[in-house]
Amino acid sequence: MGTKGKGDKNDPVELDRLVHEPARLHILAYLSVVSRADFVFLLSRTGMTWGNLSSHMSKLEDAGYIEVQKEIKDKRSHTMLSLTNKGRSAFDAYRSAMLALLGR
Amino acid sequence: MSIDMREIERKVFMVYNEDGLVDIALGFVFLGWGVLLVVGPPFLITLLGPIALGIWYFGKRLIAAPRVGLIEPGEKMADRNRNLAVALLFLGALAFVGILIGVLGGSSALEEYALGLVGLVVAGGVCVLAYLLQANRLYAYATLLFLAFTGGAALAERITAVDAFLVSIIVAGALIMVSGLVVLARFLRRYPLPVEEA
Repeated sequence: MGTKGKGDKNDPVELDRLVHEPARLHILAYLSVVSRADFVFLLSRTGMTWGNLSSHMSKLEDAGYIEVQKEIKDKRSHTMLSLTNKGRSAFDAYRSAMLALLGR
Repeated sequence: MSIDMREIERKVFMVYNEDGLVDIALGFVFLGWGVLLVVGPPFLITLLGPIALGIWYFGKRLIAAPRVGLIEPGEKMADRNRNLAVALLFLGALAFVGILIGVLGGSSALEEYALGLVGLVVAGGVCVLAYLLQANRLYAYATLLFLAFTGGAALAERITAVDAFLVSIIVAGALIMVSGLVVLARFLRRYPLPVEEA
């Protein structure tokens, strides 16, 4: 994970496999239209389980695609997530590659 | 897997309008307005706006946010929210004028055309809200309020036993509030509180 897919010899586009995974694509897509969102927002929008979302979040954070900020709100830990510039570029590149692949 | 960004943006925006809190607050204002003009005291009408805002604010904070989470809007969404704030201020000003007319003039003294005009302006304001929130059910509320204002005024000329105008406003407010409660119940069923895994 986290590496660019080599693809087939005849494949005209190269897809970032870290972004290509549907669950992570969902996370990046939602984060791309907001400035920041919390963990519960992504849970409710993606329908993932707590553990599953945490696991995908960690992979995206390790790749530098998202930034995770732990805050204290109403005396409780509150996790906010945002897309980094690197993550936004990767997501935009993925979208362009998919559009090119689909010939649009 | 959709990467239609407009659809994603719409979904993000819409989730915050699925809780029915705007409906409940709107219905509360008209229901309260009608009831207070019947049973009094009329000066309590000035509290309706702040109470409705409180219902909306604390509902968002205590009911909606723990279920669907919080976001800080992106640029486009922030623009839309700004437009929404302007529309709400406009609606507030309209409500204030309507209340002044009601309190100072007394409903029975109002001219039929004046009530129709107020109904048209109120319905127009609710339509603006419906457009900005992309909530089609609010168009139905706008129609209902327009009918309540114009129909109520027409009935008031024929029925003298009760203030038909105020009754029609009370019924419209109650219907909007009940509709909002149904939307809220659906929201609570659709978005249960997330359970943190051990």
